[in-house]
Amino acid sequence: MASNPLQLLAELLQSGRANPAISLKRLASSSFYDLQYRMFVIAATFEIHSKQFGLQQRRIGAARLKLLQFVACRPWLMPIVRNWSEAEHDPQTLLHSSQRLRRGFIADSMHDDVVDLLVARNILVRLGTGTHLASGANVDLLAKLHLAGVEQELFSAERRILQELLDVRVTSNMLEGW
Amino acid sequence: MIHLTAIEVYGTSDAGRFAGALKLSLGLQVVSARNSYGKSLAMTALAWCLGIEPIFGIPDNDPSCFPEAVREELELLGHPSARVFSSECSISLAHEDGRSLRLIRAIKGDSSTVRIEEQASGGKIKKSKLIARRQTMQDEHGGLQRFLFEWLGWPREEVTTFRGPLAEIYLENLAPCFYIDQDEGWTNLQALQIGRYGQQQIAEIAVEYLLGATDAIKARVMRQLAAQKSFVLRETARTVAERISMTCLRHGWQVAWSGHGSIGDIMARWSSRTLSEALKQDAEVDLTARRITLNERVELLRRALTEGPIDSSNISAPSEASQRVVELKRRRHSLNNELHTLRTQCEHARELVVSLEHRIHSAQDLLRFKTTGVGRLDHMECPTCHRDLDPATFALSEQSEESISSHIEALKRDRELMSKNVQSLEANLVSASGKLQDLDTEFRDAERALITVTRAIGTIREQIAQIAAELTAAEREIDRILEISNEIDDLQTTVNRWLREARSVTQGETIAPDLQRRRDEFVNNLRQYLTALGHSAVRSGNEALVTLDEQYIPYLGTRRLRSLGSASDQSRLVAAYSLALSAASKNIGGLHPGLVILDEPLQQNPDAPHRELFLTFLSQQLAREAKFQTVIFTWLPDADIARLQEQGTKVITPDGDHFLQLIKSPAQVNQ
Repeated sequence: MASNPLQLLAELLQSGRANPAISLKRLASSSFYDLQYRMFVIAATFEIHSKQFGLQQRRIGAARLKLLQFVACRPWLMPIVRNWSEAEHDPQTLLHSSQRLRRGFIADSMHDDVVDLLVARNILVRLGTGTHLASGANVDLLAKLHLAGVEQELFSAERRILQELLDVRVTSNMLEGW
Repeated sequence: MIHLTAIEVYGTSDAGRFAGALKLSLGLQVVSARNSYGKSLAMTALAWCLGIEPIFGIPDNDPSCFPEAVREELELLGHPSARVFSSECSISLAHEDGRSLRLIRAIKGDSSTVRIEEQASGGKIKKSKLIARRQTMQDEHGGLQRFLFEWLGWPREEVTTFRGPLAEIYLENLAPCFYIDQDEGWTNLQALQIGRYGQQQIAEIAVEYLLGATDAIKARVMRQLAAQKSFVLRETARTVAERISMTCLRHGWQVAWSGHGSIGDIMARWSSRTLSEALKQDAEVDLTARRITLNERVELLRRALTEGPIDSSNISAPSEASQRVVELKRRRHSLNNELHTLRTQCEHARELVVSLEHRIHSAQDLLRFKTTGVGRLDHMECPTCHRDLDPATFALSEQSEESISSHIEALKRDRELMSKNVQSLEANLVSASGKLQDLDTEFRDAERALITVTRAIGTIREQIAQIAAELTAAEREIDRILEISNEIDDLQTTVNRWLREARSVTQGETIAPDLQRRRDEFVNNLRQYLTALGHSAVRSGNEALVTLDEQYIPYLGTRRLRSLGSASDQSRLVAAYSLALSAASKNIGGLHPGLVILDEPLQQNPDAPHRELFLTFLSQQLAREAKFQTVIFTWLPDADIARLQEQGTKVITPDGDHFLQLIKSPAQVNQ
C-alpha cells in the first residue's frame, strides 16, 4: 500500500485499467504552508492592526487576527470581505456573502499552530480565555521581522491588503463563534 | 581642402583700439607663446566665427566661451584695466582651388550674425551677412552653416534622431574630429561631440562623413529607419491580426491569423494565403459559394412566388413556420446557456490567474526572504528552559529554497496554462455572442414569418406568405453576406498594404561598397601616427594589431586602446586619431576640411620625457610633410624652438606679452 495519497490514487486507477503517469518531482507544497511566511504575515497583521493595551502592551482579538491574516494571504478575497462587512446588517446577504470565505477560513489550522509557537516563545501572550492575544516579552522579534520585510519591500501585496483592511469594519458580530 | 590663413581679434576700449592677429600657412606650424598670452582666445575665435559654440556646452550666440579680456576689461600697455566697448573676431580661410573666405563675428555687440567676405579665385570680394545659429542649416538664404557647406562643397546628409524626426549633420558634429581644445578636447575621442541634438550614432557618422563615406551614412540611416519602421510594422501586424481575429470570432469563425513573430515570419505567413482562403481552410466558410447558393435560392423562391404552381391542399405552411420558430428558440436557449457557462468559466479563470499572480509574487518574496535571511526568526528559543523550540512539535515545517523554487516554477506553468485558457474562453465568448446575434436576427425573421402565415386565410395565401417570408429572409441573408464580404475585403486590403510596406523595408537595405577601403586607410594612418607620437602600447612590431571597431573606437588586439598604455597616452591617442583622420581623408579624397587644431597638447604631459616624444614627432617627416594644415598652440623654450626650426618645422613666436595689443595712432608712432 502506498503512503503517498497520489500513489494510492494511481493504484486505484490502475485497478480500473487506467494508465496514470505521476511525476512527483513537479509537486511542491505551497508557500502558504511555510512557517517563515506565516510568521511574517502574522507579524505584519499584529503590527498594523493591534491596539494599545495598558501602558506597554498591544493586543488584538485572536479571531480578528486569524481572519485578517487569512485575507492578507489571499488578496482576491478582499472584495468578498468588503461585501460581507457592508451587508452585515442583512442576515440573508450576510450568509451568502461570507460563505466562500468561511469555507476556507475555518480549516486554517496552521495559523493556530503558528500562534501556539509564538506564545511558547513568549512573543505573544493569550489574555483571559484566549479571546485576545497581546504582545509578550519578546514581541520586538515580531516588530523586527515586519520591519525587515518593509525595508526589503517584501510581501508588498500582503501589506497593502492589511492596510486596506483598516478601512473595512470587522465587527464582533462577524467574528462571533470563531 | 582648405586651410586657415589668419585669426584676428580686435575692438575698442576706453584706452583706444586694440587688436591681435595670427597669420598661418599650409602644413605644420607650432604657435609658441607663454601662458595667458591669448592662444586659447585665438582658438575660441575660430570656433566662434564658424558658429559652432554649442560644442562648449553654451547656448547659441553666447560669448561666455571667451575670456573677459574681449568682453569686459583687458590689460593693455599702460592701461591695466581698460574697459571694452566693442569687440569682434575674424578668421580667413583659403580653399585649395584659389577661393578665399573671411568670416567676421561680433563678440561684444550683435553676435547673432556673421559677416562674410567671399572672394573667388582672383575675383571681386562679395560681402554678405548670415545668421550664425538659428535655422543655420535650414535657412537656404541666410543660414551660415548652409553657406559653409556649400562653399566647402560638402553634401548635406540627413541622420535619424532619438526624438523621431530626421536631423542633419552639422558642422559642430564634425568639428570635434579636428578641433581639440585645451579644456575638454583631450579627455576622449570626439570629446566635444554634441549629444543633446539626439542624433543617433553621430560619432560614427562624423568619422564616416569626414572620410567621404556618404553612401555608408545613407546606408546606416536607412538601416536605422528600417529598424524604426520594423518596430512600427510589428505593432501594426499585431493590431491587424487582432482585428481580423475579432471580426472572424464575431461571426463565430475560428481563423488562425497571427501577427506574432519577426517581420519575415509574418510576411511568409500572410503571403501564403488570402483571408478568404484562410476562412475556407480553417472555418469552412466560403462566402462566394454561399452567396451563389443564396442567389439561386432567391431565384427559386421568386419564381415560386410569381409563377410557380401552388398546391391548395397543402396545409403544412403554418406548422412549418411554427416548427422553425420553436427550433430557433430551442437553439437560442441552448446558446444562452452555453454563453452563461462560458462567462462563469471565464470569470473564474480570470480570478484564478489573479490568485496565481499573487501566489507567484508571494513565493518569490519568500524565496528572497529566505535567501537574504535579514530579520528571519531562525532560532525559536524557549524562554523558560532556553532550549530551541522545534517547529515540528507544533506541526509546523519550513520549506527549503529548492522547494520554493520548484513551487514558483509550477505556479508559473499553471499561470501560463490558465492565461491560455482565459484567452481561449474569451475567444469562445466573442464567437458565441456573434452566433447568438445572428440567431436573434434569424429568430426575429422566423417570428415575423409565423405571424404573417398564421394571419393568412386559406392554404394558398398561407403558402404565398411563407414563400414571401423566406424570400425576404434569403435576401436579407445575401445583404449580410455582402456586408461581411466587404469587411473581409477591407481587411485583405489592410493586409496587402502591410505586406507592401514590409517588402519595401526589407528590400531597402543597401551596402556601402567603398567604406572598407576608407576604413583601411584610416586604420593605416592611425597606426603610423600612434607609433610616431610614441604611444607606449603601440610599437613598430605590434602596430598591425591596431584596428577600429564598428563605432570607430581603436583597439589593440581585443583590448580597447584607451585602456592600454599609461594615462599620458590618452592625449597621444586623441592627437593620433585626429591627425590620422585628416591624413586618410586627404589620401582618399574625403570630405575632411584639411585642418587640425591642437590646443596645448604638451600641457597634458608636461614632463621632460613626454616633451621629448612630442618634439621628436614634430621633427619627423610624417608631421612636417603632412598634406593638411596642422596648427599646434603651445609654449616651447627657446632651445626647443631652435631645434625644431633647425629640422625644418615652422614655429611661430608672436611678439609681445599678449595677443591683444593697443593699436598706436599715427601720432604716437611718429613720437
